Amino acid sequence: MTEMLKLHQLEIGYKAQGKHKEVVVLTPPIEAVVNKGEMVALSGPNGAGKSTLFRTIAGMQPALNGRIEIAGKALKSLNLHQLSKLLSIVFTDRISEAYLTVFDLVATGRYPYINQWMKMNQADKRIITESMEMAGIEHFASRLFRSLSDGEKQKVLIAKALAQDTPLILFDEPAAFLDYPSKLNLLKLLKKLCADTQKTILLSSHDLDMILKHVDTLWLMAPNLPLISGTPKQMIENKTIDRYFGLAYEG
Amino acid sequence: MSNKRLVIIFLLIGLGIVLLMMANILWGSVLIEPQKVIQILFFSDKSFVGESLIIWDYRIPQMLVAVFAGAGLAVAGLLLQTLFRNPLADPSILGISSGASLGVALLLFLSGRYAGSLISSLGWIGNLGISLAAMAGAVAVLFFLMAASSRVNHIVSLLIIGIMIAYLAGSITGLLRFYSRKEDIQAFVIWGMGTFSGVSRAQIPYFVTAISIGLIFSVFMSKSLNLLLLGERYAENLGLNTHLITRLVILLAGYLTAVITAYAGPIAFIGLAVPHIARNLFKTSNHLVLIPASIGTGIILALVCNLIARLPGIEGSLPINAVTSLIGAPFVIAVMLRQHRSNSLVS
Amino acid sequence: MSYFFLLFITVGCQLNTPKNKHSVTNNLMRHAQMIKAEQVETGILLEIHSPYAKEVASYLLQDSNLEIPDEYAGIQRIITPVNRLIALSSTQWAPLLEIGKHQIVLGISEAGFVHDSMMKEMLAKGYVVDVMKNGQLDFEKTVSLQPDLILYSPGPEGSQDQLKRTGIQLFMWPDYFEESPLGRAEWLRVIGWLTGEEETTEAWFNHIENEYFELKSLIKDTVPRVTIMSDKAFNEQWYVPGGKSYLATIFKDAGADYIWKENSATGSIVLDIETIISQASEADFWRIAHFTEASYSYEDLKKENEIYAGFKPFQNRKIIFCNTYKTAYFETSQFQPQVVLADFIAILHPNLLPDHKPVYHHLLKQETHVE
Repeated sequence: MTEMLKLHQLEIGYKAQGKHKEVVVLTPPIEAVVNKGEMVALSGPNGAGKSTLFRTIAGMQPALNGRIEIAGKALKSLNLHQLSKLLSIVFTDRISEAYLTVFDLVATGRYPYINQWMKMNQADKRIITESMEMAGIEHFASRLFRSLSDGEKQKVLIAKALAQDTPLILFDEPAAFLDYPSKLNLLKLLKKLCADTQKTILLSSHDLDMILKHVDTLWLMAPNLPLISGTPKQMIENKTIDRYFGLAYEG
Repeated sequence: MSNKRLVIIFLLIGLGIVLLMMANILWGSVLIEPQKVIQILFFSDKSFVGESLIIWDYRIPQMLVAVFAGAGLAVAGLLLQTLFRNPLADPSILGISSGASLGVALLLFLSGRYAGSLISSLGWIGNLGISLAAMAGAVAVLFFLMAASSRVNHIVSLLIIGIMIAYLAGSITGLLRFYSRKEDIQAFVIWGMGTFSGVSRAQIPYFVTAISIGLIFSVFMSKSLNLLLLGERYAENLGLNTHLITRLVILLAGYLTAVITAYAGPIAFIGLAVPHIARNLFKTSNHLVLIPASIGTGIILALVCNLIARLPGIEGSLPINAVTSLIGAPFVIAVMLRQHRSNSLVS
Repeated sequence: MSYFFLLFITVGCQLNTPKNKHSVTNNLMRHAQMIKAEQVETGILLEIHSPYAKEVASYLLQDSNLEIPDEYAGIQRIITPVNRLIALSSTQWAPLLEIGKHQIVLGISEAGFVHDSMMKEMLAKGYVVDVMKNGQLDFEKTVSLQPDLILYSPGPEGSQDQLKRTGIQLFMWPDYFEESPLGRAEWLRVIGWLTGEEETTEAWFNHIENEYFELKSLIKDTVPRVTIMSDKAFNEQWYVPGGKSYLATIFKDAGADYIWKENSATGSIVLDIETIISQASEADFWRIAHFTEASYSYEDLKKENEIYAGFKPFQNRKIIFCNTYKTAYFETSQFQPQVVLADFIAILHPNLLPDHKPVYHHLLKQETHVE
């Protein structure tokens, strides 16, 4: 098994600006690995540092200590462009540009591979089409992104991440705005992607109910507790979930 | 939009620009027959001294300033609307035109003899022309913005800083104006109305070159601008150094605004309105299309306004700033209403 | 960023003007401060100061067939008599009309404010063109008139850029900045030199000068002094004449103590309403100039601002009024300082000039609508 993402003695948090230069460390040093083709869900109560961990892995925020390896390469040694071909990320950010079509948005996934003039070759176009097919949105390629429902928008962003053609994809709260059937569809879709394309997926969610049923590996975070990794079954049995969420889980 | 339609619209815009350029050369407050204009333009006929001066030293420079100011302001507006992802952003939002106004106010209000001691304490600014004073004010604000942009993390903070600079410069200008003589205020008011006729034939090559450089740079930034539309985090994940690009976009938009304001005064509205017209006309968010579209639309709007400002029956010429909004605002409203209708049809 | 500096340099280069070596030693002007004139072998050498710049503008007025002496090389030469002229200020064309040289005036500015009936007729017939409206020059009309010379009032640096672009010879005319009434009137001598009518203008000015001095001599030390304030609020601001201004001099020569006579400004100064009330509301007289087509009364003044009614000169009906619409104050009073002075003496000290008929200023009478 190849290690796609490796976190070693990683400390995340903030260096406060201003006079005191205070350092806020969110969790004890993190030690964790995601293997190729695996789908891992990261969960924990609000304020545990899930988003911070994601931003740190995506290179948008410096790690306080320790190292991150993506596909065997140290994150520190990668520039933004190199990183954009290894890791894609789907945020909860709203995109509200008026005349952005679904196709154009998915096509931005190819930007790391094309030149200044954005001329795409046949291979680029094929990847875009395949990505849209995989996400099940090929029939509204020419529609305006703004006019879609939240569930459809989420699929478009997944297609964009697929078009970026990275071995590792991060999903930040992918189910946040969705109703139950859409959430279910989404998780099934992600699972299928993992299986079909050997992509590695790390998603964050505080929707435990959903995750426990559909994910093989679970990472739990909570303030001042170490990040812990295991199967949902183990986590429930040894009461880890209760400890991390500070409540009795009734599944 | 299909490529064929794209080409047709661009051809129509190009044709419109050529016709409007000709109209701008033919029309003025003094009647010159078209045959004479042709003689002067193409056969450098020396027998019409006065007319030739009017064509070569006044109408052509004025037409060229309209063309390049229209293009430059439209692109500056587009850059800033994309950067701030705010449809109300325009070249005045960063405080650059306010800085230029302050520079001009300092020059006009302090160069009179009644403030002789003040002007000598300002030294060099007293010896500059209006263009240079405006440029100095605009560049000062631009430098400040660049320094600020390296210290703040949030694009919104930068936007607020820009708006604050505009207020600051505006209030200092107001104070200077309050203590100034009526005669000097008139010169300032006239500058504030904007004009395409303030650039002499000798200065035209510098103006045209300066704006062209800005326009070419902006085309090279199309891909980065497309990414900025997705927001900073998506842009960064797609390999864009957003911090660097933010500063480049501000530098570029600020540079265009500074040069145009220095030579033509604070021309309002074009920078705000043209990107909306261009987006609606081409129904795209791709800057590789939007930038040339904004350039073309900006040129057309500026040339139409310049023509209307000198319509027959109007004594003298109308202030450009009054005409740009008069013509542009109803057009933008119409475009918005149409957009609303087509959107509700889609969804 | 280096391109900015390139732009700076290219525009900056145009600012250099050649410096003249010669300077006036034997000044012909007796009262004017902004201009010096000297009769030299080949013509008349003029040095004109701009209140906006340190440099002096020098002109050599001479006949076309004369050579320019080496010592005057680099000085702007104006061929006299001038035959085609644009006069941007009414104080330039008014004396030209007076001496019968109306045919050389091709263009003026702000035609809407013209009071003179002859000029109105010339404009209507198209003999004279309005080349500047609201301070904006019509480049095309100006150029197409093909004048030899444009007389202009100096403004802040840069405000003359459009004029310069016409390529037409320019002549600076800062008469407005003269502090003394006789100094302003003396500019008509320059009109004479430019048009070859100096005999007429010299005689004219001598007459003005004599009459002015005669009237001024009426105010002996024994004449009781009265106090006077001037002007009212304009757009919420009080612009009042400075203590060394034209009007302040007229007040002094007419035997009045101007409220702000200690002030050192030669132009107008801005004051706030509280200062006005504390310093001026107790003055004996109050001079107001107002532009209105209708008649004007104390009631009209009170309608503008209730505060005015509390001023002593308002209550005592001692307001000295000039309707700048009905009188040609801005066009002709400059060349009749003796008349302006006589108006004031007759109002302030009625016993000194009992038979004087008011021309520009008159005492605003209670409810009688005097023109």
